[in-house]
Amino acid sequence: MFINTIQKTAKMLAVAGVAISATLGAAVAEEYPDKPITLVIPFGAGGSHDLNARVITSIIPTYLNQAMIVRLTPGAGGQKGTSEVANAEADGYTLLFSHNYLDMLKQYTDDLPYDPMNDFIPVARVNYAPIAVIVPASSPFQTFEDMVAAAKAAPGSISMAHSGNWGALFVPAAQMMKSRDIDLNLVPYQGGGPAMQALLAGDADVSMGFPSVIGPLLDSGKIRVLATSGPERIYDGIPTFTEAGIEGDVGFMHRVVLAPAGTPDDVVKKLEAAFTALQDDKTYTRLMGRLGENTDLLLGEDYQAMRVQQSENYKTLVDAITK
Amino acid sequence: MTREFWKKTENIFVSTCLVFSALGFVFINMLVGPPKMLFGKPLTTITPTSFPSIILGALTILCIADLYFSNRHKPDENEVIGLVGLQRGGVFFGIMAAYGLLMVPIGFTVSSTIALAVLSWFVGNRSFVQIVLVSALAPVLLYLAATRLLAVSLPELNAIELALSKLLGG
Amino acid sequence: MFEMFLDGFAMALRIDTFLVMIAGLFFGMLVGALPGFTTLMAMAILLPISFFLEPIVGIPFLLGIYKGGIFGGSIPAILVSMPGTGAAVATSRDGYALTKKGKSRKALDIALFSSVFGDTASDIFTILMIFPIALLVMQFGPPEIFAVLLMSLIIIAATSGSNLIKTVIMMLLGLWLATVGTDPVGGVERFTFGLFDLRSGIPLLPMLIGVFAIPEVAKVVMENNMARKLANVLGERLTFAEFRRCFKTICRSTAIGTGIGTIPGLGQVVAAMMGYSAAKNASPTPEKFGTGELEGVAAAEAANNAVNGPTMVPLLTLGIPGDNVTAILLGAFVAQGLRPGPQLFEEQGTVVFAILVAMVFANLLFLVIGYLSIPIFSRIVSIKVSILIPLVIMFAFAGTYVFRSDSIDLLMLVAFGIFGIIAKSARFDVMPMVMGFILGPPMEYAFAQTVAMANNDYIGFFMGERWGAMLVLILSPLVGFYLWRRLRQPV
Repeated sequence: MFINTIQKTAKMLAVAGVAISATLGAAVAEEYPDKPITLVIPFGAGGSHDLNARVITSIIPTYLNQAMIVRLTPGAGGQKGTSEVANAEADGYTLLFSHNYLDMLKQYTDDLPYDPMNDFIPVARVNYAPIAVIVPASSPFQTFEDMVAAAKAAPGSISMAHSGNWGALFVPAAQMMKSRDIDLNLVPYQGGGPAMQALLAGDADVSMGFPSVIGPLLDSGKIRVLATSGPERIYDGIPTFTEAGIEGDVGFMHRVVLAPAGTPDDVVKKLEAAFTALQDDKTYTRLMGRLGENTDLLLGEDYQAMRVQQSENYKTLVDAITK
Repeated sequence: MTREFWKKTENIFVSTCLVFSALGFVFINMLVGPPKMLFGKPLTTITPTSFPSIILGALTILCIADLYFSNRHKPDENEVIGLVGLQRGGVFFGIMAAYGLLMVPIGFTVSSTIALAVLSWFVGNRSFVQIVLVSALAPVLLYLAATRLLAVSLPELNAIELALSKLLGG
Repeated sequence: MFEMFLDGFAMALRIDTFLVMIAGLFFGMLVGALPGFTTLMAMAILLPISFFLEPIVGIPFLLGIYKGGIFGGSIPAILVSMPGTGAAVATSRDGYALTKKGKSRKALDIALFSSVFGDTASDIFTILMIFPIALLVMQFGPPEIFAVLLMSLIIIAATSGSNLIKTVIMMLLGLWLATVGTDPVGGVERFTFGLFDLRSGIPLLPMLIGVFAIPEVAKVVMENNMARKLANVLGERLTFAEFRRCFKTICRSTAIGTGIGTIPGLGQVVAAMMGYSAAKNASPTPEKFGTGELEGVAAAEAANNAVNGPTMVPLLTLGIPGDNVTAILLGAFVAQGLRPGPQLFEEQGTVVFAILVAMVFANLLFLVIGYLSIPIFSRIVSIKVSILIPLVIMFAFAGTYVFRSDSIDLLMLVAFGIFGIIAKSARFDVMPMVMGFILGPPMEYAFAQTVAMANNDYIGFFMGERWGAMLVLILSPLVGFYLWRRLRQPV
């Protein structure tokens, strides 16, 4: 009998709850944002994405007048967090902090439960990082061509440590192998850190890395750079990928904030304004600089053009590689 | 297989395990996706089915071994589940399953309040005052601590979230 | 270098550092005591605050949270058999048994003392030996990791004491459960039956709570003991004689934990289990382990804390974080203008030494904080069972949800609870299953890496470069067999 009372009370509460929320929800939506915004990161804690996000979310509240809270949702190679945002309400309170490989490339290697191009619109590309091909100081390779020659002479004998299949180190490596027609032995590691450690320990002959990680090791002479991505030379005397014969938009990781498709324009504009203001914030630039990241902002529409281009490039790449 | 055999929990457990692992082993290629390719060779050095096959195969063999070795003597009293315990266990897990299913739809506070009240009664608490205090206060306190102090998210109805932020000033 | 150390030592003796560490330790302990509300998350959330503090204040704050959290995780493990992390599993085994015997305070005390001792000793060792350790860390790669993980599983199976067949069945079950989801190397779906929610695999926390805590609760419910307390007495505090008895075990575990800490990728879980197994083997009464033996708690706790010292080494000397926690510390370091890496000691050695010294002080401070907090925590066992059980269930559900914000985890929690109680009544020990589940994926990954590295030249690879790993692989079954014979109970 007591159970009956409980059941009745539960029903009453549920009905009351629905009624109240309906009334309150119907109350006019005030200025965006009127409650904290959630920034979903589809990766685990402590990664470079997480660190970047922490810097952003500790400073942008001053420009939005609301908190931005990081929600880590790792799983299924980034699909879990991404699909959550794809299915979330397009009201600007749930955003995704992703990068180009997850955004535009994954759809060609896996069956995704969402459509990256149509389910998301870019809000802002906060920064990008060029990758570099690195070898340990004890390596016999002095130039990029040395390595290519050695790889051609003994196919599969040169080990490249990368951070995971289809990740930020893997894709440039695959592109490299295809453009120069060489066969490298790709050894996976759980992220950029372990890959770097393998390189330093001598377990791998060559690897790749981003400036934030390479910096101190390069300065102390523990590693050498053989080539860098991008149209311009970053280090003196080190060729770019283009010069080394690797074509295309190779080796750049773009960190981008995405919103679910259908988010109202004025909401997107407000967010873009906040990110633009962030660029001029001295604390932000200082902290980003310390992390070794640049602060090159690209707003929504400009980055969208890049996304379309990336989508085509990656499709061709994946088709060619995964025969 | 005699009735004695099926009364012993261990045998039920191990036999189920045996059936699942044997089926898994035989049908593994249907359960595990095909390896991905790169430049014509498999992307990874070991196939996705390698480890699972070894595990399921070993599991099948060991389940058979266990059934053989542990049934050489008669089961003693403690190895058989009693009926009353089974009923209470069923209700208990039923309550928890309901709690799990309801938490997201009706929010943390409401579902926890209901679950706490029902469980308290079921576990033997007959003090009405205690039940009401615990069921009403504990979920709210935990919710506030989790979302305000620890900045983690618990599912909650919009109405309650708004009410709480109005009460406490955001 | 030595002057830098002395300067650093002086620099660490600041009142604000100490106050902030105390706050961090206390907060970390509270957060760690709630399964699911991981210290990792707490550190990540508080990381931005540390950006605006001085390095000698901000970084010890984060370290305080971390260390407080490790002990915090042992509290529910001991009091209600609810380990929130894999490392606390070994502690919950004897810890909860002690609680049931009415000795919860002793269990918490020995856990505290062992943790502090293990951590302090390993931190001091790290400070003194930081560069040799850095060289040593470089020697270990995937083949060694695979070999040690396999050896750990063999030792865990061999020292579990009960029926070997049953133990291995549970371990294989755990290994299989770990394969459900996405294959760690190639990203291929396994056993997901097309369900998206299973693509990221089965999460650890619902399994831990479901398999360790729920059956204990269910047992009380099913036996229908009304208005009983979890334990009849609060228990006395630990006596010095008891501590002295455990001292040798604590030292052994500290050595084991420090050793395992130098091998990247193994972590606290392996250390705790190895410490526990070694203590069991060395004890004149191994059959008491699992029934409420203080040495068991001491062994697990000392080892899992001793891992922390060497874990910092790759971070400091190369700027490479070994796990999620050190990754957050890396962020904190970098935001403060410290560049972990080969030049860290040359350029900012004083600050680094100051931070390391602060770390040692954190342990000692924690000894006091913990000792004073334990009486409060151990009061939990004196709450009426009919109030405690519903509250425990609520915390279990809340923590499980918070872990991944996925409601399917709640159903998994219940499912594992049912599994746990069935396993219990079938006389199967679930610990090997959990160990298989935790250690399986890194083992598979390390194996795949090893095969890739060997590049088809297996004999040459192992004999030439990686003979250490090969030695471990050959010795493991032998050691396992020896331990099994020694510890085997009559079936």
